[in-house]
Amino acid sequence: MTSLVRDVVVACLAYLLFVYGAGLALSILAFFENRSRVRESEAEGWDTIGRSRFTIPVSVVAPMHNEEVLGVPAVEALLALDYPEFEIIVVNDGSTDATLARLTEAFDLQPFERFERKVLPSREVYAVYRSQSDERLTVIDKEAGGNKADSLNSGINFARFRYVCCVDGDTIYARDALLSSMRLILRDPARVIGLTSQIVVATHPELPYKNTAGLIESTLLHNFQHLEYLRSFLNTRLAWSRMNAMICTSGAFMLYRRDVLEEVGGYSPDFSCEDIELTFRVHEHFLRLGRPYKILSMPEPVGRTEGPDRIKSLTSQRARWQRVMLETAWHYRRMAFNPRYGRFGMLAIPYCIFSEVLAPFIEVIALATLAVAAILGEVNWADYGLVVGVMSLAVATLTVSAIRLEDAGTRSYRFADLAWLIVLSPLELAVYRPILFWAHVRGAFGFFRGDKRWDRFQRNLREAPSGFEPL
Amino acid sequence: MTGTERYLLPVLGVFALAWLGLAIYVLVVRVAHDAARSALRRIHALVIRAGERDLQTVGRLMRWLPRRLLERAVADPATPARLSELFAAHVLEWYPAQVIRDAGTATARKRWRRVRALKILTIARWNVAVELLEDALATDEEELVAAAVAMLGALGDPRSSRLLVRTLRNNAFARSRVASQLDESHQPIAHLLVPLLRDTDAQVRYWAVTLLARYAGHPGVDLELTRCATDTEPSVRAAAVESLAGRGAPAAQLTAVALLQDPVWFVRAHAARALRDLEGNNGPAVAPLLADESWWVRAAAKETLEARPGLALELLLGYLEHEDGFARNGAAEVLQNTGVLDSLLGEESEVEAHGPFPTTAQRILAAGGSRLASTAAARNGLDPEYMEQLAAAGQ
Repeated sequence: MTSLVRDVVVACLAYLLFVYGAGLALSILAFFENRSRVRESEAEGWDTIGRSRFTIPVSVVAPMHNEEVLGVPAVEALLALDYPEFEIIVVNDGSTDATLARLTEAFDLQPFERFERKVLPSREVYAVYRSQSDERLTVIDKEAGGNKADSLNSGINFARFRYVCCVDGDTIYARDALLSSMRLILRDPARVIGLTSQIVVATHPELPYKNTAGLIESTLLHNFQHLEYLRSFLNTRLAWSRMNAMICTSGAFMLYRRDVLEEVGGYSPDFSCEDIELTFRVHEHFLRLGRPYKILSMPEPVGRTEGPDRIKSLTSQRARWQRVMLETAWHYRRMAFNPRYGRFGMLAIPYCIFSEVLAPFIEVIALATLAVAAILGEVNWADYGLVVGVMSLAVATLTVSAIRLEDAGTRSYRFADLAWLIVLSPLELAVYRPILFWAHVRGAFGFFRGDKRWDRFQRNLREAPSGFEPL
Repeated sequence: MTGTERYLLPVLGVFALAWLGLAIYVLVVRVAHDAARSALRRIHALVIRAGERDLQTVGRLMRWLPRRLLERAVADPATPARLSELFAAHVLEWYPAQVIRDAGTATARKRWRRVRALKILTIARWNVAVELLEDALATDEEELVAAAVAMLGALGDPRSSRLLVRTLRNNAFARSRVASQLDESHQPIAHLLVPLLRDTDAQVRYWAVTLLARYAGHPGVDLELTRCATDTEPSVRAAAVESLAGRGAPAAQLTAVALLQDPVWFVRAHAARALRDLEGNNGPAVAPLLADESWWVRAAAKETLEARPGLALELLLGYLEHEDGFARNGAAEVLQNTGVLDSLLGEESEVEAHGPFPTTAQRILAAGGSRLASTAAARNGLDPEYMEQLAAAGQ
């Protein structure tokens, strides 16, 4: 028994070594990618693109389900985008609250028939509303599809322009979100087929930015989410972007060429979440056909989204993310370690499997082993404390490197906030990671049960819907 | 100390040092950055209220600032234009040889330093800038070429325009980006673009036609654009009709009407949209496109018909009983969007009549289908079921 415990401990340490080693390698790649992007923005500027008649128009699709609180400020932010030509298509996915009424009141919506171009499967459209105050806004009222994929497909059926930017209905976008992202696409529109960017979490994203205490929030739970998002968007996605093996174009900001979305059959409602599955499908499609393509990630934050402010809400959200990771990895398992799929098959998917899919199982095994070892009296608690300390500092070092990337690029955080985030970083493993562990275990159970629910987390508490100010 | 501790403690120490070192680096760099920004803000405040004496003070202040800081400030788009100009002039006054050397460096590793140096020369509008930018365009480094294109656009002089046209032709960088810079040029560039209309590369012809939109209406240019409307490449034909219509060139209408019959769908769509902006009754030419096989052409036809509702009314009524379902739907949608349906529903004779012939409103409702009827009911405060009955009576 004792030798078995030792073998498991060695295996777990080897796993940790792999995860941290991969994390370090990704951080280094992300550093170079970030530097290139920052310098590119310095060298070119966006003014000409912002004025040019050759800047390709974009259809922005924003699905909403029970968004009576954030729906109106989110649409106001979208209409305030600084971009030469765009349209906003809001898809009200069978909301049972006052979402449609609030939108109707705020934007003077009138029902009109508009015949859709039904190229992607989606549930029945009840009515199409046109804003009388801003002709760029169309609201689609449709039967509840039970997931975001159905709404996105419906919105794409109504999209008129060559690029479609699928966004979240509860996120407040920055004015330059489209301009900064299309800048990269316009360099090589034939090959850059998709793009994603960084999103910042906030308890109340609709509140005026300057009236809050910066991006940092008062709750620890939120600040740990800041750290997690920074690591995920900057260290990881920028690195995969550099290798052209982007694992996930974030659901909060997915900019794709419309013909690509139509060619791959749109978003799939068969998964718990649509973004990562679509990214895998696009890779699979283009690599199988041997067509050149690029999916990029940008370092700039393009919007603020609501992050859960309660542990229960957070675990619910993260359990769904874990479930979809497992669903996608299982569905596309044939691509893993398959040289035909290039870097995506040989590096990105194996990384996903080891660092995301296997994580909850390894963690459960590690905890069970610790319990058995403790019972057998085999644990040297001083050594154990040292291992935990090493792990905490390893994660913290990767986190601080992500903070550095953010600060080198956009400097969204004030100095005091930076310092506070840095101080928090070594505590993440002990304070925040156990919550995520529980969420991942729940997600894994949900996967094995075949659970496909879109159980969105409960809204953060608010006194009343408030105004907004773009970033 | 146990054996394991002997290994773990140094590892812990290494990670602790790595974390601490990185943390201090992040914070120190930020402090330095904030201090530099603060200094720049103060200088900017001085510049804003500058008399000659203050500018001398600014010059003295700048001498205390490191060259690299000034160079970075010039490169930073957030730096106010006046300040960038002052810094560029100062750097070139004190370090001209170094800047020119940096701007001409051929080492890929130093390409960003090269970009900064080129930007300084561009902002200061030194003559040597164009030559050095030409060298930059000749490299195969995408970032450098992108920056050079933007800087040539900013210079906007005849030599820069010629270089940009050459870049467009050579496909050395994304043509849409080069075209955006050329489109902003204040210099006349038609003479540079017209020869490109006979280029063997269809993409070059396309961009030349598109950029010549600014000159549509000039007889020579119109003649060339009209010729391009018969180009073998569909994208060139589509661009030609759009360019002609953009400025209401006399040849635009005839060309657009002819291209409505083009075998390629997007040429027909562009031709239909071009007619939207042109004077005259184009309805009879565009309306048949309501039955086009392409959704995009039908959409373009609807947009054009909606733009001139008065001229197309009678014509559209004729399409309400068209054999093609798309044409019927399209005609009803246009009549809805132009307010014709709502105004008819406001007339009692339209909604109350029960004679042997359906009223116009009933015909529109029948052609548009049940959702058109229900949305019309919602807009006009009418009973949806009654509207359904009206639609049924119209069939």
